[in-house]
Amino acid sequence: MKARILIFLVLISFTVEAQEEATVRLSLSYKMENQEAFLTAKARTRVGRRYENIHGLGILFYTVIDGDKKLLGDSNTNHSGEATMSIGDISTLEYDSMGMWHFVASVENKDGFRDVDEEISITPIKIDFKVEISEDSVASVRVQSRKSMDNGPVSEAEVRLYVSRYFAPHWLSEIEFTDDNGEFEFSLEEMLPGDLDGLVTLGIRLEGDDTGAVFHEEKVNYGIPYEPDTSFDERSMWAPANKTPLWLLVFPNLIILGVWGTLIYLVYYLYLISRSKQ
Amino acid sequence: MIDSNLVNDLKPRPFGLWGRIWTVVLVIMTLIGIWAYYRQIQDGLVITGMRDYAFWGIYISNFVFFVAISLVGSLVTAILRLSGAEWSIPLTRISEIIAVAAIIMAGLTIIVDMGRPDRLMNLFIHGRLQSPIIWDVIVITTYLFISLMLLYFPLIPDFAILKNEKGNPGWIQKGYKRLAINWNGSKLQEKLHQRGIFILSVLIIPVAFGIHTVTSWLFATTFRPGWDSTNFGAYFVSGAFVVGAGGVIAAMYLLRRHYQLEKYITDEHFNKMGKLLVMLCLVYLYFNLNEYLIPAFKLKKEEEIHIYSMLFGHYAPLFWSVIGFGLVMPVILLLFRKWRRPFPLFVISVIVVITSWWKRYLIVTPTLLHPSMPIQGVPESWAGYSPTWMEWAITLGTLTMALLIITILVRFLPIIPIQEFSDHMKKTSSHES
Repeated sequence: MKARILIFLVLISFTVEAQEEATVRLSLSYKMENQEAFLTAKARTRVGRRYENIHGLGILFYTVIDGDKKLLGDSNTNHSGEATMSIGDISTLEYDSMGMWHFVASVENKDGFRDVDEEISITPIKIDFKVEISEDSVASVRVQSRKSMDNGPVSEAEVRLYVSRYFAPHWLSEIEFTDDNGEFEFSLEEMLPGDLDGLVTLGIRLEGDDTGAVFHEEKVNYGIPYEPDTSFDERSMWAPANKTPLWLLVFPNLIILGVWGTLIYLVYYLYLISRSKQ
Repeated sequence: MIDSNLVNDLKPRPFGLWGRIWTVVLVIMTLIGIWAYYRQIQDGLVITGMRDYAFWGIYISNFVFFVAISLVGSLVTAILRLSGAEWSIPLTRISEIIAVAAIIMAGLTIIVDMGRPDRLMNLFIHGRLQSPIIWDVIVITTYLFISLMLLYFPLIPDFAILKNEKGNPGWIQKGYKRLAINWNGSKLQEKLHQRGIFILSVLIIPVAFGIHTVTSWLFATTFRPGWDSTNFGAYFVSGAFVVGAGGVIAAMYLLRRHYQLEKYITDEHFNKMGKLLVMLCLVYLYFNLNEYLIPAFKLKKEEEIHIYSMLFGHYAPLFWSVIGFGLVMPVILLLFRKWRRPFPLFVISVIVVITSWWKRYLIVTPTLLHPSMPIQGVPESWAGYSPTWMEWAITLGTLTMALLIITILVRFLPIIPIQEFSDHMKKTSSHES
């Protein structure tokens, strides 16, 4: 009897072990790029001694105003364990009496995972971005950041200047900090490689204590106009077949003609041999 | 008038039991290769071990090997003929046959390496004369034609002799008659014939140098470590003569033994070919020294990785085997006459040919695994190269197909030029008397 009870207890403990749900470690971040805001949740779980990204986990995103939770949308995590959602038009998003947004990312009713929430509070801000170019081509980039609710300055926020490139921002400055008025001024001494019209997209990344990462970009006329390489349309070694350099057409073809001409002449020899009589 | 005993000895003969077994084995292996290639056409190059790093594998190694061995036609037939080395007359036909078979297979191997062979014509329609690949296509086609002409021209009088021989089926006799193109040995025919062979012998030398130099430029026109070399053309040509000489020696041993040609392909021929092989190996060793010593002295970062992998790293066992067994050992052993006797020389030549194939593998693959620019976003396994068995089957299929072409030509053509040898004998005896 004792043995049966022991086996029963062992089996029960195995079943409990098998049904145990994993704990999700959830983090939430906010990013705004040119008036479009994104929420990104990263989900990881402990496997053995280390944390691993969870792929394909559904995350729900909410906004919370004065205790009321309103669903913004949902997104599944990718191979990096990240689920990103665009909030869309932030001008319609309400903030609370303190002038803040509250966002929640949530894992709810997922098989094998315990429910978990993660919340962040963001102070909505506005950025004023002005570029002045002097006659000697020195550009002054003045950045001013203010809170959306009361236009109060966002001071001591990290700010960094970049020029937008194909794959990633190309940083033009070190990390600086806004002053008590929420301002900072960058100076560019040399013009940058631009597009065909000499335009470049300058941008700043600003991040305060509770602002999230805010990106603001503008096209400015501070670029050296790009001159397309037209050598591809000229006769060159890298041009298409119909633009072969003349010397390369003449000399190899002379060799080819010389060799094949001789061979045809030898075929004519064969003809003469076949026609020759005793 | 040709001595009838000479004709009897040298005329092509039907295969015996061993000849048939040999042919059947070659046909089976070739068919396996064709089946594997059919699978490759169906599924694409994904059936091979080639990926983003090693986009050239054993197919291109094999291609370079075929181009290399085809140079033997110019070495034995043209260079030795023009230099007045008449002792080489019994070897000319063998080398011409090997050259034709090898260059045909070189062309086919390039097609095997193409992921979309149905787009082959695009190479000609959209090909750019600026690209070394187009130079290679042009020079291979030209060399194939010259090799066929150089095989055919000396054969004309032999076809005229064979058309009157009895014992062959009617269709073979008809073929001989047609190929003899009314040869009657008139003075005009003799003159045209001799002049034709002379012109071809002169013409094939620059084209032969061209074919392998251009093949080397496929590699040397890049900036990749191991290929970025001004030495590459000479390095390739000298290596080609080594494998070509090895191939001829192996073939002359087997054919002499099978057809009892000891009277015509004598021990002295082996002795001389052995000496020639020593000289060619020494020249090739010299170019190898240039190829590895100078980059090893300068040791640029990329070259360092490449050279280290060859001399001490992953490829070291193969590299030192190739240099040791394929070049150093033949030079040392063949300095002694007893190693230049037919059988030892045959064994050494077979080793030279096999190691020469692997030498091409070492030229092509390790460089590809050390790209100058990083390749990103690919599985880690792609950074290595291991040919699949399908790839091996196709490669072996091309090698056996080359041997099959040689076998078929040997069956229908006299292995030793009958007319030329007879003229040579008459000349020699008149000098002696």
